[in-house]
Amino acid sequence: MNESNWEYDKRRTFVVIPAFNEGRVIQDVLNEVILLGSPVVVVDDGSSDDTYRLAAELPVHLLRHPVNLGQGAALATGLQYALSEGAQIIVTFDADGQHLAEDIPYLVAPVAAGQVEVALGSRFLSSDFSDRPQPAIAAADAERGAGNAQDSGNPYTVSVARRILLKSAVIFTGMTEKIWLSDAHNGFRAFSANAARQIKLTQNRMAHATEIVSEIARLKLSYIEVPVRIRYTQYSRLKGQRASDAVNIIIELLEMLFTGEEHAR
Amino acid sequence: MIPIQAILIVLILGLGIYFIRRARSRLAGRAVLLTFILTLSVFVLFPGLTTWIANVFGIGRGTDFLFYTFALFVLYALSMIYLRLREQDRKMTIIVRTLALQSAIKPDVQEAFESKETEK
Repeated sequence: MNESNWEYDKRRTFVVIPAFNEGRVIQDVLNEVILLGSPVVVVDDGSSDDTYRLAAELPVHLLRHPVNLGQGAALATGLQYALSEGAQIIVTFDADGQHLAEDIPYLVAPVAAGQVEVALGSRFLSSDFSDRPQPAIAAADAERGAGNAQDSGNPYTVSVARRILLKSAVIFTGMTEKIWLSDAHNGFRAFSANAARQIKLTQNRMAHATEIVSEIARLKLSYIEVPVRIRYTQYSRLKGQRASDAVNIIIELLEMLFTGEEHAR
Repeated sequence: MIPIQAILIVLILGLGIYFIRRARSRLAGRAVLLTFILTLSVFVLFPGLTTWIANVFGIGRGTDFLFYTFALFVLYALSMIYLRLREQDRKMTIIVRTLALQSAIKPDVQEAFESKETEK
């Protein structure tokens, strides 16, 4: 297929959303994404709350892991499903409301145009975003403690601790894969079907983010970083206090480096 | 034969039989296990042997020699266990993913469009 002739076919562009215990916000998040008109694939990673039931009420493709395997595994399941449904482009999107559905077309554009195989969302690329639609703040957002971007309590800024954590991921990826990104740990990505088919995701848990980059390096896939907005709310801050994840990631990656292999191949 | 020797021999043989029974019939695994049992039994029956071997290797005491050997064996056993766990992780992921894909629900898009129209 001549990639420069690709049209952006919304029906062949799938949005994969792995979800774990996001019952509080899942419907708000899904409603935003559904509006774009592309098929949405939700992968419930063994949630213990009613995430699955709530997602089932909406017009989405819905899969469920009977046990919790991790975000990496849920993503891999979603990718495999989307490919089997004939996806030409696959977007990965977080279920906790941190990502804005309005940013999806900007992530898809370079892939649809055939410029790159992979588009990686980055919250650290500066852009004034004034040419982009502002997100519609649902009523539930106010409850969650989000504000408009114009408020002084700007929900789009990154806290210092988080910035340090994220930049460490960047440095780690840069030193091991020689790929220097501005944001190595962002779940907002777009893949061409070709890239999605080749990428082998074996890390089930948080180390999958670094594995994606290492796969891009291994397969020599063309990529680009696209600025995206991150919406920090009280809800996502609560879930974001996972400094211990950094230790887990490092341990998993050390294992990968020492044994030269990955888990769950 | 002092009592401790008899007890240890019985334990070693017992464990050996137990693990051979449970192990998958891998020739290498069984051979290693058999060697392990025989060697340990020999050392139990002839304690002076370990001192002699230790001296050959330049180690002071027979006990030290046994300790080092045991340490190596433990590392080996741990690696085997770790590899097994990883393999199980891999298989479990495949199973869970297969289940998820088989029970996938597709959206009822037509219905949703119509209800969204009437909502407006």
